[in-house]
Amino acid sequence: MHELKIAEELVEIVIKVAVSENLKKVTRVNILFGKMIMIVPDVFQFVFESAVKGTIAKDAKLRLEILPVKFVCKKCKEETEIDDLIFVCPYCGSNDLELIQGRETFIESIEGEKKPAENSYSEQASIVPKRPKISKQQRLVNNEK
Amino acid sequence: MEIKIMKNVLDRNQNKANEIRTLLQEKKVLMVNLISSPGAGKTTLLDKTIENLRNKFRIGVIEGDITTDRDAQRLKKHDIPIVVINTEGGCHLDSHSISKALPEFDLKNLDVLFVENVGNLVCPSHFDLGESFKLALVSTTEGDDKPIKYPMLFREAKVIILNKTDLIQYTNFNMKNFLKDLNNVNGKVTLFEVSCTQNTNMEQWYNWISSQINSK
Repeated sequence: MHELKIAEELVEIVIKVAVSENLKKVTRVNILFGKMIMIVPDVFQFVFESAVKGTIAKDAKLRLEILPVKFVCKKCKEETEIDDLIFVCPYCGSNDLELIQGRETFIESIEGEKKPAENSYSEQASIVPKRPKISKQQRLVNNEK
Repeated sequence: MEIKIMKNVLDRNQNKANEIRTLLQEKKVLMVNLISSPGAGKTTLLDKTIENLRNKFRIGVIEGDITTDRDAQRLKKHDIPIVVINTEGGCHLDSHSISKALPEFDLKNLDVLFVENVGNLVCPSHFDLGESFKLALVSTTEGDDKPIKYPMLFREAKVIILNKTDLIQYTNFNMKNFLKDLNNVNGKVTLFEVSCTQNTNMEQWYNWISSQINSK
């Protein structure tokens, strides 16, 4: 269940960046995980949803991209992408390899809506007494009149 | 609007692990991160190893357990410094918990620190503790397919110990399949085939770990 710890760390970064960028709401979180990390996407989605509860990222969609494993053979220098997690160079049969992709736990970006800037028109406008809120039902009643 | 971040989610763990690695290099302490599934024989391996090496080296142990200090109790007789970390449900140790445990040791007077991780083949392999290397322990009673099912650990480990070889005759463990899978995952790894309880081939392991401690 390493998903839980990874999700907690992820959400902490998301909130920190969102606050520093003055977002009022995070709508999407884009992450890149290597195949070696062995994340179960459904499990990760579940723990992510629990980790964002009660935060400005509570409605954020998660986009998880799994990166395939790639290595470079130290002997023949060929680069190979593998599906089956067999770490043997298909060109020369060597097992002296350098892993160049597949261990990532990256947060790529977040998407969200900005808070209105301070001293903007809307901020100043809030000084003016607000009109009482009218519910949908009341509006209909008023229209009928 | 999109805000680019491009950051490792596990940065905090990694940074702390890097600090620990630097500190232990300065103090010339070898740290071994021992990972296996529950019941593979981690504590028995440590028990035998400490027994054999305690007159040659100054040894310390960090015992990671979800709860209880049972493992530490088993090693108490050796009269060496042992710190227990209870993860309270957590399925792995992380570098922050190791960092909190390290001040309990007199690092200047230590040659090797064995960290017995929580019994689990998946989660501990993702969290760098600042160790010198990972030791993966696997036993024949778990089946011969562990290297291919848990490639991250077996790929990352510098050394692998196959334990309980004396029990092969009672299981369907196939050595040929085990070695073939292990070769596919990590053909360069050092492997010891042992029985900790029967002391089979343990001398080879003691020699190897002694040379690692000496060359730190």
